[in-house]
Amino acid sequence: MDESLLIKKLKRGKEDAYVQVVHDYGNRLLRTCYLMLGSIEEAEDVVQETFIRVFENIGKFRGDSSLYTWVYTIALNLSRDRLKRKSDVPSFQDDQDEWIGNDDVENCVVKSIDREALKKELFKLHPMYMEVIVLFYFEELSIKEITALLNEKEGTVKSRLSRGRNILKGNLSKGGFING
Amino acid sequence: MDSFEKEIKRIMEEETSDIVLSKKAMDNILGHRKKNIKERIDGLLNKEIKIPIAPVIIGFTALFAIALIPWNLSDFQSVKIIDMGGSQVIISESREVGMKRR
Repeated sequence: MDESLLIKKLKRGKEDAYVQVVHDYGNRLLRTCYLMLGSIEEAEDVVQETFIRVFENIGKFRGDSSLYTWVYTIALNLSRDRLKRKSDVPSFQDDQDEWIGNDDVENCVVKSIDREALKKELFKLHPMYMEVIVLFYFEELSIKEITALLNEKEGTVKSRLSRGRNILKGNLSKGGFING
Repeated sequence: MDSFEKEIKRIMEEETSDIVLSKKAMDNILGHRKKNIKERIDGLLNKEIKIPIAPVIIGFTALFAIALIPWNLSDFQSVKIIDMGGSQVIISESREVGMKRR
């Protein structure tokens, strides 16, 4: 179904449009939220809250962005709120906005990786970096799309992506789980 | 995308491949959807209305009492009519005072 038609149907309260939106975005959104929050229960709560907010405010949706971007923005904000509520997670404020792409670790060519170690390090990553890594690698969004979604500067997104990768590579190198 | 980045992607895909929204969550989400006009009218027509029986009975009884009881019954009792040939003499205990007309 064409997106503009889908939005029209949602505004009219057509059941098939609601079912389609939940089917199209539901599982994908749940997986993204799970990667960010690390808990299926919390991810499911966020997804439910997201759709409820979308349905309540569909009348106000003007179509400035795509429906998908709008849904994802709500989900990301709700996920961020949850992470902020957890006292052990520091702020999402980045202290370095410029892209640090010329790092030695960044440029090292990885020949073999201990997958289990990488998985462990990945889920230990700070949510600020995990967020962009999930959106870039899992959602396959472009830097521009992530920039719009997170309402951040392009440099900030690039920097977080690069630093996230560096942290992972650095931690794996320290533990001897990576061979360059 | 280098092998490291491919590995990151693969891990995330594998970790989430069997994650799906539960039926309960799905029902909860769709339960919050905006209702169309027909559904809203149906909802209104099928709405259960609870009427407390005691106040309703008391109300109806009071209404019947007001409508049926002859409130000027005492006036009838205080008036006697004596037929005297072709005339009638009305003897009343109370004196009715009417408006003075010119």
